[in-house]
Amino acid sequence: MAGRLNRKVAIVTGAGSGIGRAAATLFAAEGAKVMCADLNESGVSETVSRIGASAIAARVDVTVPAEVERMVASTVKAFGKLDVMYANAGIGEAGNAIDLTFEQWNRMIAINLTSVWLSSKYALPEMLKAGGGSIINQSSLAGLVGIGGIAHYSAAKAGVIGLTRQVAVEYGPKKVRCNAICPGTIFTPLVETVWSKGGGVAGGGADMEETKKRSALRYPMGRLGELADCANLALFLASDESSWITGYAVPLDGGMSAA
Amino acid sequence: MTDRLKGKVAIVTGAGSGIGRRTAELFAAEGAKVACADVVGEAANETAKAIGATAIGCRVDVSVPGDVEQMVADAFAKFGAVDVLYANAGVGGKGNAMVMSLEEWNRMIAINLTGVWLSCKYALPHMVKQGRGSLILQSSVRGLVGIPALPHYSAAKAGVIGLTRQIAVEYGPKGVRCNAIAPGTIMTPLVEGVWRAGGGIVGAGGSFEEMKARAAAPHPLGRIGTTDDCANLALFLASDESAWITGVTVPLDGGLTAG
Repeated sequence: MAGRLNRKVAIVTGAGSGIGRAAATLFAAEGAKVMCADLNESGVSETVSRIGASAIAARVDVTVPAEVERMVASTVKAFGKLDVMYANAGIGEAGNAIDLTFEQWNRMIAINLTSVWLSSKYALPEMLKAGGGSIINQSSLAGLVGIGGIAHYSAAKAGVIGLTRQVAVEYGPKKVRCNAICPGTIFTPLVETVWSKGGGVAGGGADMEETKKRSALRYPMGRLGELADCANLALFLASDESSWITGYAVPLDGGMSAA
Repeated sequence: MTDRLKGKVAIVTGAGSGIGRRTAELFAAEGAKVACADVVGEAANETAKAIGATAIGCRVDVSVPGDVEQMVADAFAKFGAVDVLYANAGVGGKGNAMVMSLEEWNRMIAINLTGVWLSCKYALPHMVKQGRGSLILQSSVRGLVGIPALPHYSAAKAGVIGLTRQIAVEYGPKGVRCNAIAPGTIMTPLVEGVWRAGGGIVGAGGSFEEMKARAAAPHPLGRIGTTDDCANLALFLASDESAWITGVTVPLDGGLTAG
């Protein structure tokens, strides 16, 4: 492999499946040591056993400060430093502004927004110590444009963009970069969950294949996103190739937000 | 090298110096065949010669339709495809909205906006026929935010962003992507020459190093950009790693426009 992340240490949250697993695998293939974190312990163990010796696993609830703090500490203990934080963990859930319950709202904000801040909160001191770093926050197309049926998700993901710009501006002088990824529909278990409950850009529906086709039609490139699309972008943002890019929320959406 | 552009044919305009030359070299090092175009034919040939057998040089005034058509035809005749076009050629200028002459305005629009469209106009038919292609258009942070002086430059570079989105949406279904790069100040031989002569937009006065520090100050990452920063981003956008990214304008600005 090319070694685009040689000598770097990365944490990937939500690494037990989907995008997180794909990114952790690619980071390791490009030379990084990777802490794979997930709430799902068996999922993250599977990721690590696929990667091999350059990865370690941790069961982490990213909404709990002490767990995030411990995740960062064990990473530094195992690999000596921290260069890259990919705060990818999150959930999907359908719900509009009228029908959402207060509990649903709070849970979404905690998991998809507060957790992203916590990941930065505990990663930043290590990055400042190391003289720099790259934080990659998972936002969404829903953070850029309005999409029906996911009010709390949209608020959380737009919040991630605001946080990204703020962290970029504040810690840029200390050589820490912070960017966000705003994917459209990437067909992961999370998306499948949202769709099966009637949410998402394609409006849900009983037939999953039909929904997939309908969803793809809305993207100028004519297809849904793949795990590799997201992992490749995260790799670019993690690497020194993007060392003058910070504070940017990259639309990864086959052109949808350009229309 | 890692062959991230293996098997691809690229055209780079403004390849006679600075960003264009560095990018042409990087594209070639990553496995692409490259047509190096520049209004200074000698400089284009020099870049091509330095690269070797996988490059050709062309003298092109990008504001002249016949020249651009010939450039694309030459690249296709030599290498058999047109997969990537980096429309990087452009000029700087001076002035403000009150004192500028119509001639200065028209020349800027002709080169920095119309020249970019013409490059797309002649590259697109090949890309549509192939069912794939990546257009990379050179914009500027001046296309994103207001900065004193150079209204014609700002208008042209914002125009490039509009063109980028339009082409992305229209030709996405044909497999052609179109993205823009919006750099802040990049240290090129051209910029260095202007500054050393006491000119430039950061305000005259002081040594070259003082001017550099003054230009770096507004960027959160505390430095100005390098030709490598731009070449690495162009490489990512040219490669299949960004296959689901289209219609975006990437600020390459050390966080300037996030603040």
